[in-house]
Amino acid sequence: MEELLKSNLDKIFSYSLFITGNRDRALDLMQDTIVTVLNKKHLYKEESHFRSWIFRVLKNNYLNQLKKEGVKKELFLGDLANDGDSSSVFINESNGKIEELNDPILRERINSVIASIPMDYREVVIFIEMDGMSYEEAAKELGIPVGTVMSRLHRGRSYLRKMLRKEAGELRIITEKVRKNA
Amino acid sequence: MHDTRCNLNEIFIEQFADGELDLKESSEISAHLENCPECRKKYDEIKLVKRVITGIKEREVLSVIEKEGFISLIDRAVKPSFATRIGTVMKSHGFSVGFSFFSFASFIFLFSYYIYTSDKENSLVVNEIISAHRHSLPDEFNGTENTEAELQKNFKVDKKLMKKLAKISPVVRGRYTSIAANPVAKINLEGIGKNKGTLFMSKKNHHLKELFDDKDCVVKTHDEECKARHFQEKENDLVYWENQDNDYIFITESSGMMAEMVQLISSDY
Repeated sequence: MEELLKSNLDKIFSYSLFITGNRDRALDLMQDTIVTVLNKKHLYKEESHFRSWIFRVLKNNYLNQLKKEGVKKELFLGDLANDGDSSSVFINESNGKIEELNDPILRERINSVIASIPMDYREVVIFIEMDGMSYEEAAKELGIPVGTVMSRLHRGRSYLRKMLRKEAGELRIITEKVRKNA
Repeated sequence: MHDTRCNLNEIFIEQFADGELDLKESSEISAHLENCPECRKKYDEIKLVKRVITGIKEREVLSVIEKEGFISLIDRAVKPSFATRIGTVMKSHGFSVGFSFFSFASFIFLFSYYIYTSDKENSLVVNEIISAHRHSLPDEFNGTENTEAELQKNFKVDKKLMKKLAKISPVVRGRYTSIAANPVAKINLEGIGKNKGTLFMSKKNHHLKELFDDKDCVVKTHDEECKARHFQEKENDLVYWENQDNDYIFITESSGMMAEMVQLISSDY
């Protein structure tokens, strides 16, 4: 287990970051989770899926943290409006690379947007978009049907697109401000 | 007039973008995207979202120090407790003839171990901090082997203070996590290097710097990311340092100064 944790530190951090939406909180959550995992390693069965197991522990620890802090609601499956009009591209692109992402302030905003995707959708988005899993792999990891993976991914993405578009103007202003002040 | 409404299920576009379709289906969707601006726009957005997530993933990574800290945390967490070790030893010996002798011996051992670890723990923490920051500590700390030896000798960790700070300041808590050691510690710098007390600050903390302008400070520049200042109060030293990885170390013998720094940092964040 120790070796498994050590070799997956980057992945755990990415999960943690996309769950909390904030680097400091992600590091805190990661630390708590590593301690939890080491204390409960007897519960881990080798045949079970490490990534989804670790994600579940991260998620539970995060929800416990929220509870302690008195945050009442973390979005789960719900009625999400469809993305409606898609008239603008939210971030400038050049040569296929999004240069703006070098700006830590912008990244923080985007992280918090990702972290606002309802949790059940978020884990599918993370597994597929971030881990590059196929639908089938994600379905196995999460123990849900492929059709559910597809619908959750679709909803998660739609939510993300909508939220990013909503933030678009403001994000660009912030980036420009940072550049001017630099 | 071109009808922009399209009945193609968006999930097919997503499957196409994710490479989940077979060759025939892919070429069908690809051809459709060529001719349908509405679907093309959706497809572009999906790809853009993918690039945003990939971009974030590439840029938001653990620093070397943070990674070392977590590895150290894992290593320390798996170290068996003393009671477990004693239990193992007792089990292997059983409660046989030599039990009384063993009890006595274990008492002596326990006592010696306590003395050993109480001292050892501190030097482990010191070693950890020094090794985590080996390549980025300012000159005074990093110059010679002598310096390190001095640091190890003089370093005293104030765990209560560290816990208190961690509760107050998310920044300190974050850094605490990041090196999985003790970013907050007491140290006596007397006799180390030419400058006794040094206050190191990054450009980011100009507002903190200004607060020390009226003090007896010497401005020091170490590199592009790290600026340093010298500060002394009643022969006691304060070091506040932030490097390019945003790690924080407070080192002071002065409780008054520590309180001041705590206030500054916590009010800042």
